[in-house]
Amino acid sequence: MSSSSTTTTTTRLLMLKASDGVTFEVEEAVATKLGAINNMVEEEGSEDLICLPNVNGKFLGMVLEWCKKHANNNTNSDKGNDEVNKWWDKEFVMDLDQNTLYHLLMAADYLSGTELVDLLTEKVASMIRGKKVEEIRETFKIKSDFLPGQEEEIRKKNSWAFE
Amino acid sequence: MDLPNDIFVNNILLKLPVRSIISCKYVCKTWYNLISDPEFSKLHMLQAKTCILIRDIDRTLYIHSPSEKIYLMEPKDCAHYSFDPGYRSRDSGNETYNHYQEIVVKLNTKIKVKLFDNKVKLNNRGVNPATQAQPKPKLLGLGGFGFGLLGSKKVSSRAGPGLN
Repeated sequence: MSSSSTTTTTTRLLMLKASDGVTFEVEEAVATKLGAINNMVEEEGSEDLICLPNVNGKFLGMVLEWCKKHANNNTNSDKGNDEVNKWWDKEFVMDLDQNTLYHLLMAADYLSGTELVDLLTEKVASMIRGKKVEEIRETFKIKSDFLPGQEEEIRKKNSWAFE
Repeated sequence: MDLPNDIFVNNILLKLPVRSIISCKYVCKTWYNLISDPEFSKLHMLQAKTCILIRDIDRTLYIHSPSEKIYLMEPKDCAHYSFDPGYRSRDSGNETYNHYQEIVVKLNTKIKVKLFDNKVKLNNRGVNPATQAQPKPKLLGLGGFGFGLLGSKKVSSRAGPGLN
């Protein structure tokens, strides 16, 4: 991108360092889509290197990939962009396994990427919606820890939900 | 699930339909305790979409009093559903129930309700054509609403007769 004029379009690069030492060079406009990074930049000014000790490189990379896509899609302000974003979001969450989904969600939450948190939690909610108790357990690999008989007893209270 | 409770509750559980929340309640003890927490009920009511709640008349008693049986009409997809009763009251008594009772009263003018042996039949012809496109509400039998927390005694007895 050439910036011959003196406008503010100069793209500043930020360096983000994950817990495992992996570093990412990201445009400020992309990284500041994450509330936590935006705050750090605003409070501490132009840090050369931002350390993120709670996020692993793999997931930080994924979060940044999402930010980048959304930042790019939003630059040209067409009304079709919402559709593009939605389509892309769908692809993004489609094949996530549960482990990745959780770690990504934790990373997005830590980085205050509200939109991404919404997207990921909606994915989790969709894995629960309309499912029976047994199916939910199977999906999330949860073992029932109710005592024998206890479950039946408490289920009776809401028997309508299990017809 | 090893997600922090606040994410699980605020971002996931609260987005689910009541029926799914109740299913979640019996998945394991941790979820059971989370959902049984009165605080959860409160949070749920604060953001819950307005749904239609119908109370039958208890015909087994000599005096026809409102039955303990309540039917909750909840759409499968709450995200695209809206039912605006026109007004809401949450200021007196048990706010969780008031929320729904107002709707039951208002309901008569919009949807015709017929009761046959504890089964509710709904006639949607009265509904505004604009709302027809929305997902059809699903009818659920419900015995005492509130995730197993609220006793039926707390319910005002005024809701029932309004349905006839």
